[in-house]
Amino acid sequence: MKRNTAILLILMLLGTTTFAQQNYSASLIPPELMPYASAVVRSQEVTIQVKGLDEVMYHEKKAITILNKNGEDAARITLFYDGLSAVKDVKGVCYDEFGKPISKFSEGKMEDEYAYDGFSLFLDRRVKRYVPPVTSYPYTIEYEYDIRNKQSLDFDQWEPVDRFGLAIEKSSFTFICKPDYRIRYKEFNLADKVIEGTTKEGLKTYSWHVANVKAFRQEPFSPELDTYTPSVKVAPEKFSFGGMTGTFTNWQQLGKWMYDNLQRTQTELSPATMQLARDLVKDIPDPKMKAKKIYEYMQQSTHYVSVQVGIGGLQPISAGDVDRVHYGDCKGLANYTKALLNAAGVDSWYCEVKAGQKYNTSLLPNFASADQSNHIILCLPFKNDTTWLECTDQYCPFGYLGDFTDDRTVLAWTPEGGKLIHTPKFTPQQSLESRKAVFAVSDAGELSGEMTTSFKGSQYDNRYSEVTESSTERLKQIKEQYPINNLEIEKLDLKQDKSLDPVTTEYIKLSASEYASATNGRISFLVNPANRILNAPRDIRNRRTNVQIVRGYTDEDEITYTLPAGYKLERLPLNKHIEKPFGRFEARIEFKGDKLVYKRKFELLDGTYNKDTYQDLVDFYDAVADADAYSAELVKGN
Amino acid sequence: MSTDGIGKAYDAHSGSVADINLALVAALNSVGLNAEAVMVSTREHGFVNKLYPVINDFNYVIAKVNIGDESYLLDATDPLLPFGILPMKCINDKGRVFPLSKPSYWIDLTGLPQKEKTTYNYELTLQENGKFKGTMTRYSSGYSAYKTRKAIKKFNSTDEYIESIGEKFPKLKILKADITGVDSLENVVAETYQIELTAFDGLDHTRLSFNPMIFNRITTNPFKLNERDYPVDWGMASDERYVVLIHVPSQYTVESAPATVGYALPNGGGKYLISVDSNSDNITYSSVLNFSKGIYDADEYPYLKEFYNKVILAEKSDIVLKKK
Repeated sequence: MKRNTAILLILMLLGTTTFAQQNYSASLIPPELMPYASAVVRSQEVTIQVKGLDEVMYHEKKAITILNKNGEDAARITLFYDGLSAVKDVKGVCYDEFGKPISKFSEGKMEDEYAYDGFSLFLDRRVKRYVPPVTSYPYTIEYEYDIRNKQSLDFDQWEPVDRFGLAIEKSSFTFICKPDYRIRYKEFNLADKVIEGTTKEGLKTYSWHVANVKAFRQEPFSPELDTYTPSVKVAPEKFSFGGMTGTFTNWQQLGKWMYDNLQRTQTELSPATMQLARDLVKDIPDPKMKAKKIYEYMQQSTHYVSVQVGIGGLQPISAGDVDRVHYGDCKGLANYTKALLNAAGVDSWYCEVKAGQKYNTSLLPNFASADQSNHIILCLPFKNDTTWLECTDQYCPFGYLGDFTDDRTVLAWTPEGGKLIHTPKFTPQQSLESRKAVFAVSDAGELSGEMTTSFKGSQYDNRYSEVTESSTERLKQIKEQYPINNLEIEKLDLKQDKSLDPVTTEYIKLSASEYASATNGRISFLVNPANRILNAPRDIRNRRTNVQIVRGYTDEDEITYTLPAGYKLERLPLNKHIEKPFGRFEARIEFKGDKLVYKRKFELLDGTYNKDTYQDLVDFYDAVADADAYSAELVKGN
Repeated sequence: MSTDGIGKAYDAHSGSVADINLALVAALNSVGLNAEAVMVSTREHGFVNKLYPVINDFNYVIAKVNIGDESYLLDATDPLLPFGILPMKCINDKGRVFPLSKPSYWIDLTGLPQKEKTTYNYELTLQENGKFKGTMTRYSSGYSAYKTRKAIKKFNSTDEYIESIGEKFPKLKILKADITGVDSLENVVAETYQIELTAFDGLDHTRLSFNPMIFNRITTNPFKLNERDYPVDWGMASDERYVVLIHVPSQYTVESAPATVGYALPNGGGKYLISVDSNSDNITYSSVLNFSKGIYDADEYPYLKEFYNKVILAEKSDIVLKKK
């Protein structure tokens, strides 16, 4: 039945006239581009033309073939716009596997909605979306559109390989401007450098292109995608933004302009609030302790709400407004905290940062542009004691930057201009999870006892979601943390010491029936109940990227088991020691009388290692997983 | 739910779920079969209110065709679904059937005849270098076959799929692979892999112990709560079988092996069996894990949790070989 329908449809389609300019048959994709590709860009042309400081036209024409379900995201068209930009003239065609057109679409067919990001209360960005209604693969979608920008502070980056599994037949980028318009540009991973030229109208052009780029696949422990794929960033020298103009060629000048035009004007507080800030710290002589007091006041009296408005999402709402409504986004809260600190006589810097847990991306030291950050934190420039504040988290200890903003270069906006500063890094030794437990194993195989774990450094936040939950939900979540069957938690105590060297401490009194299998005078149980690595990362044949361990850490476990009298160990005791450039592992047991002591130490060292190291890393994890699966086999002996 | 109408969808060869399945209903009716449209709410979308009709409670349309005393539920939006099998997302509480000439009525979408069925066959020889070598075969049928086909089709070629399997387990090396039954939807998908598996450092040991559940051992209980207020909803019944045949090297004999066990859930809700058979050259381990229902009520929960405990305990036992 279904097959007949398909044949009928093909016959009907053959009858329609085709209007394809180009042949998008999937069979014409060069075979060398197929490995690991789930979508292939057949052709892409991106043009940016600066017509004036407040008129920048962005044009893109793209044809992309989707090979399988994994490539579906690459077919979605999402065009963002806001008060400073407008989308125009969208049109496109969908083609089937053989390159025959099956449907057309234009702007009217696109959904137009608030660019709701899932957490913002309000934002003034909107998005036009189109998802091709095609269900059989492969298919091709060809489309073009214009975006008109009323600002020239930041230009979209050309980044043809913007996802894994995407191969490129050809893609080009042309930047057009008046001959006297000066730009700076930075090329990344490009074989062919820029070609400069002149149009017949006498305009200056810069163009770049790539062809036949093979798809990258996701490899565990790989560096961020854009560090090894081709791209070009362009920055203006002269620009206009929200009705203001400016010039910059380096971070110092950009930071100065941002400070003068976007931040400085937003710091006014009511006299009453300024007095309140002064009163809060009047008996505290030490500036750092003053700052702590102000910070904690801010945490108690406000909460984070994403409100992405203001000029192009770059200007904070004024400190006075945050003071009135008691909420704000990262810019608003950082700016408000800065204003309170200022009233209390403590100097601070408003800093833009590329936040993200997975990678610690720094701003490019030698290339200033306004599109490299996504978050704001505060820096307190105390002499020899630079202190950092995350202002959007009501639970964060004073002076603590977790894995969202640690160890990366940020830009401080200061009255003297922009300054690049590096945020603190925790060493693998400082990021310590340390566990001590005293357990008993009964004749029937029941495990019972007490376990205390402390979390420091970048591991301080390992229990963040539990800490912020209600007590019943907290108990459920802690149970999920431990792979112990029949786990019963009799008592749970979770404490956070928010001093300058913060520690989270978890105390659990627990029992678990049938933890050990106990039959016929034999007892066997896993000696590591709490912190097992179950699998190694997957093998990667022909790995292409280096191995990057973004954050190192240390886990230490020491568990003392008391066993029923009269048992002896039947198996060789666990005694494993591995030493690698990227990590160390030690695990052993000692059995004496009725006490079995298990000790484990796992250390991962951050750094970038050659791609050939990867096999070694897999073997390391595999050996650790084996050691973590060690079960003590005991037999009742004479 | 229908956006462009079925005529247009049919012409364009593309359309929304409702377009496609209403076109299917129309096509079935036009060839003289009795077909009805069924409105359902997907799992993500929640249950429908059975007391008051609320159109927004529904977000999906499937087809129902009645042939003799039997009726079949169909979804034509996924070319990998065999006749009469619904995708998991549609198996949710009740759907509302709309016959052409009669009043509409509810249909129960739980307890459908579809089932996940997987059988694993291993035949391995322990070699002098401490590695197992042999074949691993996985047969998937029913909904499992659909899942396997879908997993394979996510890759551009079967080779890439096979590579991804080999990469998942660092100890496993796939020497050769053969996959059959992918293209004809009614067939069993059979994946046969010639494998080598790193197990021991050579064979010079007094004792060798290994777990016969090589890749699919259950080690943690999915159920951690003491009580539960909501049913456990797996959508459909399932059946998983393992047969592992190991050829033992001549200098070794089987010292101990997992015990034969059998557990069952109350009222025929499921069973777990292990049987072990050994002689001087071979050891055969086989197990069956069967859940006969898709949904278990909250008051069946303690049994289900304890059942998993028993499975985990049973799967802890190793096979131990001793040097002669």
